[in-house]
Amino acid sequence: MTPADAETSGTGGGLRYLTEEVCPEMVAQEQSHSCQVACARQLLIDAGVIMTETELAERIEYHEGSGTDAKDIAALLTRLHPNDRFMGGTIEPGFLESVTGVAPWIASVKTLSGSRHAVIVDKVDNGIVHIRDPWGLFGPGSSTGSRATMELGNFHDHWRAGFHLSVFRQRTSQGAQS
Amino acid sequence: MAIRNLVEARTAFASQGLYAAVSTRRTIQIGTGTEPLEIGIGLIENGSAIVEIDGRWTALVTKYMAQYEVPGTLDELVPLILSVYAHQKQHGGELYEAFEQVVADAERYLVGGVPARV
Repeated sequence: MTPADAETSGTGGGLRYLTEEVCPEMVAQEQSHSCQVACARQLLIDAGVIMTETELAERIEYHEGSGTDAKDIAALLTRLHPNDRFMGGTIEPGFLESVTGVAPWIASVKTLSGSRHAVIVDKVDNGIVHIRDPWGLFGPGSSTGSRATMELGNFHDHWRAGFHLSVFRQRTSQGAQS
Repeated sequence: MAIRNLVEARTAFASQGLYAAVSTRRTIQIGTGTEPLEIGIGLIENGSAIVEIDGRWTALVTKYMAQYEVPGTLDELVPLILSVYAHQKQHGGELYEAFEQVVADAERYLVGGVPARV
């Protein structure tokens, strides 16, 4: 794993990653505002459903200047995912363990530069959060997204400031995942 | 009545029939209720929050991938959030729409929406 440079990692230095590297298992977002759509696209790819970002974006409302709605992303995933149903919204405090139990899930985090960004959380292991980030190492236009790690305390701070917005599967076909 | 901490803030919200939960991370999340899901996760309905960031209290009202952020004291922010919910209860619509109606020049508090470019 590549130690992340805090000045350049995670959405242009906006997230306090410990490590970050190119990840072929994470698509790169194609627009500056399409992070949630890119995360949804990757969850569908993980389930064997191959769609372009454009095809997904055409199926969801984009609110000018404000982006997409977690509930709409969840509804889109529920329609297209072969097995699972999804919910989206603000999680009650203290439910990180529960939502990670049905990982991977999409977290809305606030970056140090003040913007909101969506990433996939794959697992939490020994106080380290394992993330797939559609921003990639170079922003929209990167060949792939990135895989990163973050200390749990820092993740809590980014997620808390991002309103604990989440998109997660309501039930898995294979049980809870770590 | 002065609101000095999150416990008193929670009391103030609960007295108006609102859901309010305090986390250990200097955060209170508010909503009109919760939707318990079968996998044990609670979703907050019409959620907002007051969080301490860098030693400063800030009220958050989300608007898709952007959010309204209003800094202030708990004495200022709790009544503000209460007025937003009261407006929503009376007029309906999304919570952020109520915020835009209640807060003068609300746009100046809007933050985020798209990731910042390097």
